[in-house]
Amino acid sequence: MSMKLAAAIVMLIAGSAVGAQAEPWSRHAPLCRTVYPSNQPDVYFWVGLASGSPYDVTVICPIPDTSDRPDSQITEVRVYVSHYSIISSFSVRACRTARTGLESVCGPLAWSSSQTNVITLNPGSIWQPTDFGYLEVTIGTGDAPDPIQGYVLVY
Amino acid sequence: MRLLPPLHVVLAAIVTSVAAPAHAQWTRHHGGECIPQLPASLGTFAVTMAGATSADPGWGVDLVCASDDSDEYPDSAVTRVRIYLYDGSPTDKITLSVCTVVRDAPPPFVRCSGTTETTDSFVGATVFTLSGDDLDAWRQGYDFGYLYIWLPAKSGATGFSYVKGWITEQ
Repeated sequence: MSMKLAAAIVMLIAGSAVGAQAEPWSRHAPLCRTVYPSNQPDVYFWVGLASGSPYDVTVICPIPDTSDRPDSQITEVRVYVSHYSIISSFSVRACRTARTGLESVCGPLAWSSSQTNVITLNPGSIWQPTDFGYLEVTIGTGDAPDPIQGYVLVY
Repeated sequence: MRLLPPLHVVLAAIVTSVAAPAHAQWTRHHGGECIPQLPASLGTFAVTMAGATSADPGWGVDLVCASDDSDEYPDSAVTRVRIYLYDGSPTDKITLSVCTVVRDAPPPFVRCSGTTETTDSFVGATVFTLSGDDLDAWRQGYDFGYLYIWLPAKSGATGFSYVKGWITEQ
């Protein structure tokens, strides 16, 4: 085997190893569902998922969960929001729907004040290997529609 | 006598093992990924902490839950689907089918297989496990697959039925 071929293979392997060291992430548009049917007409897509309701609206955003990237390995969630209103706020928490029974468990709330555009959340052990994970996001009221732009999951 | 394989054979084997996925694939979905099929269901559809449900005492909800389908993991290669459900109605049943929107066909454009039900009187948690012929509707390899699920109307004050989620294995 020529030295050039050996060197090329070694570089290929080294390149794979370097790539594997990067922090995996996935980015998602906010294709979330309202908790209450009565809120469905209030929610629409405008620079993200926005609410026109005069009241708080809570939506549920399913989290991708595969054998290659299980949700139990997510270390950080970053939810990006926009503030066109100066008085609105968002809150986010990580939750799971239990596979058996009707139990559901949620972690602590993370908040966004009127000037914060990224809500960072550590899901901890909320997303477990057998259950169905999701984010629960509450869009607060304001004097202008404020959208959820999307979210990034870091593994 | 040479006991070890040549270096290039060893390196080739390492490269191959790095490139090829050597394990089965599963994907787990929350019931909140499903959407109502009919406009009338929009007014009854809710996603709660227990999963997707009908919040209306008069009307159930028919749901469409899209399959996973990629070149690496096509839905035509799915070997098993497990759907986790809760039937809260003592007078109506949950019905589920494996369906596909047929890409190149005249109306009605839809083909289904593997229809499974609870009984009208059953109340409680259940798991539908579909495999083999149940998944025939997804075998074509070029259509658009989904699960169709009918959930009963809310029964009494607390008798909600739920799609908690589902798992596909390839």
